[in-house]
Amino acid sequence: MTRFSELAIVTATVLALSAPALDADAQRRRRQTSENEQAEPAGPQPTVRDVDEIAGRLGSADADEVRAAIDLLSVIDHPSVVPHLAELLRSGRSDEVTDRALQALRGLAHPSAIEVLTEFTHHRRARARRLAYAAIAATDDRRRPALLEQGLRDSDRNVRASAARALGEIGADRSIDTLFLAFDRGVVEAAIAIGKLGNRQHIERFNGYLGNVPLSVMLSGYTEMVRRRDVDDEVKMDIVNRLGEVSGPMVRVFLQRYLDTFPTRGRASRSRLRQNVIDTLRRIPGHAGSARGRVVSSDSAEAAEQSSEDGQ
Amino acid sequence: MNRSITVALAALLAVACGPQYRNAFSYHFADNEEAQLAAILEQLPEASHDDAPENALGQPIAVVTTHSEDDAERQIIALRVDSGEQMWSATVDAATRPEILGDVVLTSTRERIVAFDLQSGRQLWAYELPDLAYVGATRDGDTIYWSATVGALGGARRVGHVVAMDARTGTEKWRHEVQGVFGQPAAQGGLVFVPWERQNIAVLDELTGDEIARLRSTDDVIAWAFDHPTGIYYGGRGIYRLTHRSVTGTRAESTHIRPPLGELPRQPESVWPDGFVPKPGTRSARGRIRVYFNPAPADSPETIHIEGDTYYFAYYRYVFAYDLEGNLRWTRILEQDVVNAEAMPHGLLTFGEQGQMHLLDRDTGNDRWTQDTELQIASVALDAAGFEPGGESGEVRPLRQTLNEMVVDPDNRLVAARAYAIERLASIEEEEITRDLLDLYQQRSMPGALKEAIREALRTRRSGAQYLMEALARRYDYLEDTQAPPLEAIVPALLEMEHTEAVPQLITHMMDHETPARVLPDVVRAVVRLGGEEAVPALRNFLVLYRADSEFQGPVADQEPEEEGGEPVRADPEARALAFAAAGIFEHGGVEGRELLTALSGESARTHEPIASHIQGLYQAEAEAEARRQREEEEAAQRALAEAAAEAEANLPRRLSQEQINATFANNADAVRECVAGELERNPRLNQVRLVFILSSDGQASDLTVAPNSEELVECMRGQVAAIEFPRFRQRRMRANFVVSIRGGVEEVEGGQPAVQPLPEDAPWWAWSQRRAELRGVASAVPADVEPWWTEREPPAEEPEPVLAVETIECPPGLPNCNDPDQAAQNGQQPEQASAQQGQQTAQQGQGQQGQGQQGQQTAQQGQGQQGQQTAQQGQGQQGQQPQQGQETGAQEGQQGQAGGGGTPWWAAAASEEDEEEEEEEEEPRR
Repeated sequence: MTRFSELAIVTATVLALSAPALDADAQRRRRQTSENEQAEPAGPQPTVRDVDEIAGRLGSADADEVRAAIDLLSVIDHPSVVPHLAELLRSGRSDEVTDRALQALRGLAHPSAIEVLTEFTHHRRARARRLAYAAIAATDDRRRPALLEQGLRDSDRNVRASAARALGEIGADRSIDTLFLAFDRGVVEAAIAIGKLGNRQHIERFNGYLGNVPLSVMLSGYTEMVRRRDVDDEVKMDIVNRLGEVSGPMVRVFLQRYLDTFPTRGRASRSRLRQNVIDTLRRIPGHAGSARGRVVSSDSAEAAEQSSEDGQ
Repeated sequence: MNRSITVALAALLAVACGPQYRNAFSYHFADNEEAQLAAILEQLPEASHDDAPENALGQPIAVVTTHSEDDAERQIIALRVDSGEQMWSATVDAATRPEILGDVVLTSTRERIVAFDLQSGRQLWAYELPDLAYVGATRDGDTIYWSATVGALGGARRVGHVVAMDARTGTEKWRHEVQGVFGQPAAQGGLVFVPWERQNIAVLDELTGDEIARLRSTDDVIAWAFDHPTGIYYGGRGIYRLTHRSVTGTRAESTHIRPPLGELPRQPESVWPDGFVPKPGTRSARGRIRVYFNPAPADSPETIHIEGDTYYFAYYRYVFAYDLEGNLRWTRILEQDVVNAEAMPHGLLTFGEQGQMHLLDRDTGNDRWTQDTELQIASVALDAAGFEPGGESGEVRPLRQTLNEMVVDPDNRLVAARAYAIERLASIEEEEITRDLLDLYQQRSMPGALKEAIREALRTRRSGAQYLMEALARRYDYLEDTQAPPLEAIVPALLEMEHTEAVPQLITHMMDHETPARVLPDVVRAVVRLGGEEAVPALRNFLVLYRADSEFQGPVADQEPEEEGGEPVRADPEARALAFAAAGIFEHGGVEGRELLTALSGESARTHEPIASHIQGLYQAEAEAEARRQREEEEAAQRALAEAAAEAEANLPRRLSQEQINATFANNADAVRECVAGELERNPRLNQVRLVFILSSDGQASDLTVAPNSEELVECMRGQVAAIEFPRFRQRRMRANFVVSIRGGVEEVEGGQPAVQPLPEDAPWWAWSQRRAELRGVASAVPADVEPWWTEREPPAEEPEPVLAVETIECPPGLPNCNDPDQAAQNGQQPEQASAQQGQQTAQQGQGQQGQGQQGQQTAQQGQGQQGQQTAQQGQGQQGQQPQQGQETGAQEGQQGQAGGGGTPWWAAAASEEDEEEEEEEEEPRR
């Protein structure tokens, strides 16, 4: 076994664990960490000088050797790798090899891969399309939003979900109307993207869906909204109030967790927003602090409430 | 004695009291008798067209039976058509449609026939009818004629009754019962016309019931007959009029028309009238799906005219009208199922199931008049001739519009008629029809059967490709809720149109993941067929990209179950698409394409096995096809050769003439020259050399005998002659001879003048041979510059000149002076024959007789009396005799010799021999 092969096995393990929707940077960091931790004993890492030699193995009849070569190329992490992977993809390989190459391109995240990735957004196999969109999302290219919007039009639910999440992740705020359209058409993952990208007007528009779409879907969007620093507290309080009107266990858990994100001391602990959350929680039936509450527990909400009172 | 009286009384009683069985329906009765038919036609009344109802009231009347809904008893109701006013009603559980017969209304229940008075509705009489199905009745004068039957639609029991009854009293006048089936009779002019066994019409005398004539169709079915003021009509799917031509019994020779309506939506028989089955008195498809027409007065009794020049076809709520050429004139959707209708001069009078009447205009299909009786109708009899309520015909609506409405009509009982509407819609030339069909196809509520009909209809379209292209440009879009275009309908239509402009769009769909797998093979096949070489790059990309993809793994063709009773394995559509792409590259991809396919089908290419096998199969199929093609070419070439050989064989002469033999020797003079020269050295007195040999059909000589037969000469000649290639001929073999005359010669002339420059007296023998051959049109190839051996040698002075002698033959007994031409004529022979006989010479050329015995003798005796056959006999003195047989053309040569002035030829021709002819005759059959 060559040093490249040993390293490839380690890298393959890392890549296989990578979920398509993961943030590309996080994946890359994880891969590099893994390489640092595990590949070092296997020998020196391949470099750009080894690209041609490794690429030669992509034509091998041995699928394992091809996979190992892909992994090694992805470790090299250099733009010169892209044409080799693109050629490999276009030459028509088994699902496993194709998916591995797409994942490698995602890891490389180089704009020069956008052409072959665009081609693969029309691949007849949905997983290949999904991986292609994920790789596009990871690529720093101005065409990304348009391509990902195209993914929202795909007939496959998973592809649409992947594209919607990716739009939110890349901050494609110009795609917000398309995301709302997708949300109208039942792409629930668009709620997260809207939560990440929407401004005040968009949030108000999103609020209009409350009661019309499943609460869990709405909460996935609200989770992103209340987490954002660029959203005014007034807007967040409006969200909390609306959720308070809906009430119910799910809202209670949501608000409780939201309340947990506030510092318990200092100025922030005395914010109107936090108080609004506490007040809303009190009004939700079944909550320990609510007027009709039956359960007395030492949950964090109560502690926070106590803390808040102490602060006052 | 007593017993005899009893039998006689019983017989009398039977005759007096029982039904009067008459002489009819015998299988021994002569049919299609011209005299009988002429008498019948004479008896029928003149054709008239009294455009008025036939009923006794002389008013347009309808008699209906109602449903038994809400526990109400079923009624029979008489109505005035124009006002819808009820004249009367009665309770009866009618099983068959009522009939209006003059002043009587007749219907039947399950057990009996019931007659009502048309004026009052009073029941006149009832007739028990157990175990028989009442078929129908007609009336002429005071008598009603009706028939009932069992087994008209099959079954073991087949019984038919036809009965004559007094219309008002129900008193039976006569009846017939036979083992067979009867149809509803027609009656006119004192004659009753009874269809029976779906092939015959028995013509009965109204008074006696005796059969007086019979018509039999020899090539068609007679399913109905009816009387009409214009005459008697009968037929099945075609309409016959009873004329004197009916006696022929054939469709072609009879007065007949066949409505050109094409295939109608239903079993073809059931849409046409059928007089052998009961008219339904309750809800039945049979009563609601029917072709309607009525005869109209014609200028000639030998022709058939149709009322309003229109055929109508009702299918529940749909009505179609056709002109006489079968062109669809209009269609109409009514609110109610048509229970019955009557074709009239200006349109069709329909009666709906909920009591609504329409008079549909003949030209437009619009309502000229409507009337609603609000009755729930089970069946209806109409007698509304001459009903003319007025009303406007209105504007005709475009067929395209009305047919479209019919297709989208949500009544799924009528899918068959809607499919028929699709078919008719597709037959309209307008380009927009293509778009209409495409729009209809994409309607989600469209039943599958109709979608299939639309697909088929689109394939018949030859215009409107732009609408298919518009649809083809559409893409699936989840957000916009846009569906992919119906490629399964578009692609076959584009293929049929051979619309190559569609290739780029088709390629886009081929590479689009939203193209459904089930249509992908069609798309790829269309790309291949329409794109040809230009599509190869796209096909390559498609094939390469997916050849190892899991979505494309599967059989490329349907596979039979491996075990008996097992499930067949269906082809995977995506794999089939790849197979089509591979085939396209194979066909249009040239060398590069072949190389790619070879690489993809290699063991290390990781292409799915079915695809790889398919590619290898392409090569194999091509090799087999090439081998087959070569084999066919070879076979064709062999056939051509054989035919050419046969033709050449046919063109060969039956046997060689002496001129051809001479010419051949002249062309091969060098071959024998040496032998002759050698013999001359040995025998300076040599006068001639005679060669006799057998020629086979391939032109090879054998069995040579030579005179003189010196050993050296024979040895030399044998080799040389055997090497000569003579022309081929058809006969298997023939005897031939050739004489080399060493001295002298006389040239032939035409018309007494030399044809060419005369040859010198001392010209060599081959020069004379060549000249003779040329004179006879036989080519010679003797080189002109050959120096003849003859010139180098002086002929011996004592050489006698060869003499052509005319020998007087011995006349047979009873034919004295046969050598005298005049006497031959007197003996009953033609002068020419006699001359020929006499001209046949006996040439005796024998050296032995002339003192050359050592060299042998040659005697040619020609002429065999009356038959002119010749025998050449050659004898050789001391060396023994060699009988020569089969020598031919002696007579010809003898005549030629005479024509040449009677001189001695340079070479003497051989004569055929009788025994050779016989041999040939024996051999011919063996070939």
